[in-house]
Amino acid sequence: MPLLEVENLRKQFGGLMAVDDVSFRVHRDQIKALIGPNGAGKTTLFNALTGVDKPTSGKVLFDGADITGKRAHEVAEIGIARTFQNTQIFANMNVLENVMVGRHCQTKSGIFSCMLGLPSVRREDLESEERAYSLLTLVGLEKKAKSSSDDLPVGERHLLEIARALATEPKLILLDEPAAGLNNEETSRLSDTIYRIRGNGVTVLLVEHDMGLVMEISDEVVVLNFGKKIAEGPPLLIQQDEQVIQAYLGQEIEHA
Amino acid sequence: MTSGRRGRLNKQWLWVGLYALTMAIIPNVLANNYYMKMLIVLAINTIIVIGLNLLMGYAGQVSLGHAAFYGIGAYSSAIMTTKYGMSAWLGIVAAILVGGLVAYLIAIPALRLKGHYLAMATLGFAEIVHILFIELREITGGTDGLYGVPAPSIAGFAFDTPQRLYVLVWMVLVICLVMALNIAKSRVGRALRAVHGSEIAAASMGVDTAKYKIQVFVLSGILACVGGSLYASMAGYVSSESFTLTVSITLVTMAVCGGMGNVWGAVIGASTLTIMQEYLKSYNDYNLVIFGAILILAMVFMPQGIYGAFSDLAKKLKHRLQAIPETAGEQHAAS
Amino acid sequence: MQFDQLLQFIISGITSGSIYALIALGFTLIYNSTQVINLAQGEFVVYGGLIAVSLYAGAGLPLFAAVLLSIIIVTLIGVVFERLAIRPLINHSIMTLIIVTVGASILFKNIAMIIWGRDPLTIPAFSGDDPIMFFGASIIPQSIWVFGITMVTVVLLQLFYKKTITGKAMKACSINQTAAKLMGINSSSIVLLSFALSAAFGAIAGVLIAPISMVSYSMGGFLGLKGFAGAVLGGLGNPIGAVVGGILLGILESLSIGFIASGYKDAVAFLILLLVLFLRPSGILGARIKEKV
Repeated sequence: MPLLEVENLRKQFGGLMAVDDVSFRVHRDQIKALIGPNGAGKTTLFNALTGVDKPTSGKVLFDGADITGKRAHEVAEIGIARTFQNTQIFANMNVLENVMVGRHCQTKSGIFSCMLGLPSVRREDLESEERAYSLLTLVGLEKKAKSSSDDLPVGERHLLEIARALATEPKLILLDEPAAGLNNEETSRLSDTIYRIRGNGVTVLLVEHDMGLVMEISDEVVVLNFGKKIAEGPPLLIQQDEQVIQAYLGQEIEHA
Repeated sequence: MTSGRRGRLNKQWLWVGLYALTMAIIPNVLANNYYMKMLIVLAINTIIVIGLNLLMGYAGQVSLGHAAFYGIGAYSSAIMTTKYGMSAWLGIVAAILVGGLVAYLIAIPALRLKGHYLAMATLGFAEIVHILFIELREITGGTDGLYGVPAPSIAGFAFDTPQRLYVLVWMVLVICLVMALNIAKSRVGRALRAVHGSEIAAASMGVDTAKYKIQVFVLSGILACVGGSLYASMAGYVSSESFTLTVSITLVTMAVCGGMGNVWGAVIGASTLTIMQEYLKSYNDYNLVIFGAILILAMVFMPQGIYGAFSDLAKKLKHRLQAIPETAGEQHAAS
Repeated sequence: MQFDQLLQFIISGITSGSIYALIALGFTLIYNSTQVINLAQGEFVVYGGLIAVSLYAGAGLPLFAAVLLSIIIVTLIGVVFERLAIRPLINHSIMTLIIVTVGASILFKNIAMIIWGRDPLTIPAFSGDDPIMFFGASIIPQSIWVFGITMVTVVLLQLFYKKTITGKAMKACSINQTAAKLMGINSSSIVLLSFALSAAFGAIAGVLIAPISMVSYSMGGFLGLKGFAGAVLGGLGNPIGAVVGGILLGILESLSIGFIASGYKDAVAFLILLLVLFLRPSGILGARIKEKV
């Protein structure tokens, strides 16, 4: 059984069909990439998968269960975590605390036990802190644990978001353009990190514009254009696909 | 790392102890009824502003209507004690229940709104409540208000003089402060700050944003009700004039001027502004002119509030102090 | 209720509604250029009325000169307010800006109390007090002035938006500030202009209402809130909505006096505000608000 099944998913904004009848599957322990020209509907698809937006029609199955239309926090509890293209760092917290927010799903203390400062709350907090710290080590931000998160450069913000998402202990992590703002060296470190994430048993679905990275790390690629899926397959086949070349060439010409 | 965290926490409780001690000593130095009453009001304001700070500074949800909860607390206490002959303790319990329920009911629709819309909705709510205080004459006494609110007593000891009531208020204040500090550093405190920082990211981390917004609104409403209940006991009467829009705004101002997003900011803001307001009273007609001017100036020059301004200053000084030996070393090496 | 009574309530509703409409327009202009809700908006109304009183009764200027000069002075107050208090904080949090406008309203209100005292003051009606009968309801001439000038102001504002470069720039800023900035529109002077215009609209409301309900230092707060309720009712950010919402609010409020106890009159405006915010926050004329991620 695939980990994630997307069936005939549609998302309409007014007259615009941002995601149009898209279906694909992500298998356990895969690294799958979602690519496509700007405005192809990649982030919209992510939003529809994670409960940020409700899909107009279609189905999302996770681990065999229908999760279509669940709210964002419920999706997170089920085991799907994500990062954001325009990073959404909690600027009012330090780096470590940001990651500790990710531990929310894994902890239970309610407002009353927190208010009373029960020993169980303190125990949970220490555990969270240690786990958050080790995740920061995984992405290489452990030295900045106590820094203000607002001072981080763009690249490190993406890394922080990855650590934060991992803190929810997801089965599937959705990365939205994690390489944006990274230099070559940082990108190659990122690909190591993504391999390590997969090595820890977390399936990866990523949206990315850096084709070098996508072709290097992905097991499979889904290509979207104008909201529709135009191709799916291993990187080598995708690179030779007529429609894909057309879609990207079309864009190149527009740019020029 | 873990030991560092422990050290920081201990230091925080040291401050709580120091503050509690100071607040306990002051009445022994300023032992007259006028100062005692001011001190009680200061403590009550601090209790309410601690709640407002959790709501606004931590969770980022604006309320311009907390005078309504302050009033609901005071009236609930007054009605239960004067009309139904309940004890003052039951009055406080009633205040908490009624206020908590009203806060819950208003929070559900209101907290779907954001920013200015939320601010104006809470303001509109408070205006309606204020009009009800005046118009529901049969139960609120209309413009006359309600008289003869008793002070609580325990085992024959009545908190019936300002000195005695202060002991009670002081205890409630310290309990509220400790609870707020506990929440602030906990999982729930982080969830609240996450809602403030980015609602969508908070939700994607599994934080049920609607639930936490409602919880913190109800909590802050209840703290305002407790404050109102204590106020009714101190004054012995309640009237609608004590719960106007100006009061809501003054409370918010205390939270903002003290420094948002830090429990101590609430303590500083409530204390400073209560004392300042009391002091400005001697300027009669010019009182509020000066108050308004100070508000604007405070916001223009210290938008982070007093706590924020001082912690920035402390950080800069620390940097300076750390920089000096290094530069000295460099100069030495250069020569 | 008989027809003439109903008509009477509606006419008085339109009169107070016109005042709310002018205040609502002021909120809208400032909101569109800055996203700030200026809680000192009602004070402009008070100053418009009270300064006109001083110029007319104190300085002995002719009524129309006093009225005109008062509007100009209040406009300048709006400009100074923007420069000193809003400009330095424009990028700060909503809370900070709310507190600043609240601080300004407390300051304005109490300065007014020191200058003009606590008693309500008035100026004569613009064209006499003889009521005109209209289907059994009586209309005082000042009511016609109130409604007429409000309508003229609205039309002029629309012309300004459609026909002048500055007006078009202002409209562009209200739709998309970043884009407007990229197109080379100086948004900081647009903000200043919006404060000037809002202050002027407030002052116009003040001089219009002074002969009917008199003006006292303390009435700014409530007037401002009702103007805001009108703006929200019509759809915050929409100038036509502000006018429709303001007048509708006036009529509903006035009718409520006919049906419910008058003590609850003020509660009606706030109840409407809450209902609109809870059920349809975009107002009756606004499009549904889309949230951006």
